[in-house]
Amino acid sequence: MVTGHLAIVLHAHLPWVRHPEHDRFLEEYWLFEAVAECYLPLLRVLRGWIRDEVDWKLTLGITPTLAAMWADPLLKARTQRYLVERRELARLEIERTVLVPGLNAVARFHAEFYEEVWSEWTACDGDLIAAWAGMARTGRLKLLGGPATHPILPLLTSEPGSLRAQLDLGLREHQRHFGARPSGLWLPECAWAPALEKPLILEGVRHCVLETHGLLRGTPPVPTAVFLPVHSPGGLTVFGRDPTSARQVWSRQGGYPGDPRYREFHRDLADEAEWESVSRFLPGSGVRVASGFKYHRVTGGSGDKALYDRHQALQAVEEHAVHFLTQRQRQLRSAAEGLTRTPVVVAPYDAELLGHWWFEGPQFLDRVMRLASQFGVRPETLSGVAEAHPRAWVSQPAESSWGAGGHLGVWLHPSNADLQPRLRSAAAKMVSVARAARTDNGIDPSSSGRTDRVNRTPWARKAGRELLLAQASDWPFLIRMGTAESYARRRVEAHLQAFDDLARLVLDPSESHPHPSSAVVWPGEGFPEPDPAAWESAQG
Amino acid sequence: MGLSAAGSGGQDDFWFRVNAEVVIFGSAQPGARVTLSGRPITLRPDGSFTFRCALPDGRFELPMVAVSSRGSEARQATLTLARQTLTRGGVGSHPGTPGLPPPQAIP
Repeated sequence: MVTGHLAIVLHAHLPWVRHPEHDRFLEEYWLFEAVAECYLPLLRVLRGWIRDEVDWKLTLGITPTLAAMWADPLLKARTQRYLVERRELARLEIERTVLVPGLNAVARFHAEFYEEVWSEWTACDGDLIAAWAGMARTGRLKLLGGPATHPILPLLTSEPGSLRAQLDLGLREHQRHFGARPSGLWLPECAWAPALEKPLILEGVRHCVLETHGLLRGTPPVPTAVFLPVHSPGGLTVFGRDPTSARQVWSRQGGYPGDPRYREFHRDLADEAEWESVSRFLPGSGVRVASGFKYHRVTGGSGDKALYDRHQALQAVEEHAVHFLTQRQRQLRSAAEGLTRTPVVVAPYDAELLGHWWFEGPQFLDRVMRLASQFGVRPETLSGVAEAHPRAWVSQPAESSWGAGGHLGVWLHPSNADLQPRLRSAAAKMVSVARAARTDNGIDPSSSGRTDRVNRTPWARKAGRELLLAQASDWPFLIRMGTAESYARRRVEAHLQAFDDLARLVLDPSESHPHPSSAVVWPGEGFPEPDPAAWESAQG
Repeated sequence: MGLSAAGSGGQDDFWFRVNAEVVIFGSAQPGARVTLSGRPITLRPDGSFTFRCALPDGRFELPMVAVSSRGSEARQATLTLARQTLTRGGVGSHPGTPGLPPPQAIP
């Protein structure tokens, strides 16, 4: 008997990072590591479900920045180089550890792991877009779209042009990559404000997920907590994140990933090996960053770390999958007592948590999906649940986000507060840029000569692209967390500087402003360009 | 000057870490099969090879065998290696500095 639905939602996202000016660039390795440790292992898990005819359902948000990086030929080639180098490093590690049997067993495990990853990569010919689009065609995987660069949408409600451009470009890119416009949208950082309702509906968005208190503090309050979706007054289907299942997987203290048997994330071969032997497998920055080879398990306590034991780790996976489903069963049973309809637990996680941060995460997901029916828990997609509930309580969800404090405190913090006024100023200028581009006169950007009527739209499109990339939530997040802070600041500076340069070309096309030649590489090069008209038409 | 009991840290953040790897290298006729303790070693096209391995404390005998491509001839060399580490004060074994912080964190 089905007690209720479990809607697992994975949010796959990385900021746009592409540096063709360097052969190797540290932050590009975020993508390579996530491909090797997360996206390909997850694909492998899904292939297993299809092969074994598992009754699986999953929702996956793929942000336009991540999709653009998957599709980019340069980054694809560099990802392949990374994978080839991991296989080579695995071979060398088996040799290096030959006199230390415990290390050697882990080295052999890593070699098997990267061989499996490589076989997934070659099976899809390095085309992750096609691979995930193929999964979506099974009907069991539903994809969520997102705004173009993962901005905090409530911060854009006072800048309707940027909001519209973000949504328009993001959803168009999703359609271009995956063949269909998504019915659901991942709200970056689960950030919601009531003013988003109308623009989202206008863009054809039908459902999204909010942090728990967004629903619990809605107006009027609903009696179903987060166990059923609600309809906003305008008709948007809104799900609330289940706090219990979130805590069990996310929490640093007491969450599953902290089990002593799981692989330790923070201890890497790069920190332990002789520099010459490992440096050629690293980004080349002269810094010991992660190689992907980690020999130890979490262990616990303050003593030295014990060696990783894959068998023990998989035993922990089994125990945690059973515990997770037992808890969901109890939760759903309890919820069902007060409801006339089948309850749902909505469990969203960053996709990169599974595999990258929590190395055994893909196996956990695998076991949960395979065991769910034994616990009366039926996996379902968000759109599947939404369709099953054509009628719902009507409530206007409250302003909310995930992250500490639950109200954008991470992204609006003294450490990053200087960004917002500059972003707002640029967004206001972009409206003028869009209007000026439409007037269609000035200096032709494609030639060195002057003409009476020329097209300034190409510059406006590039200006818009730089603005959108500066608006990504990743930059204030990284600054707040003190992780890659200087890179995040450099990126915002670079995009805003490029925006100003491009805006000047559109707004003030005098001879005193030299035109950049076609050889100029703008920071946002490679990322799709928005339609400047979005900034005009949104002004009402 | 005193000897700190900690492997790293201490009052003035002084640390000392030592570890050892050995590089075994050589060459054989191109096409030969070379093994070390029974494990095949990859030869470069010119027949040269380099094998690098961690050397923990202990005594190790490493028999190396080369068999010609036709299998008609074999040569053997056995390397005996020993390491004994004696320390005073806190001495660690990992040379690494902390890696860069992770690119994302859990909300």
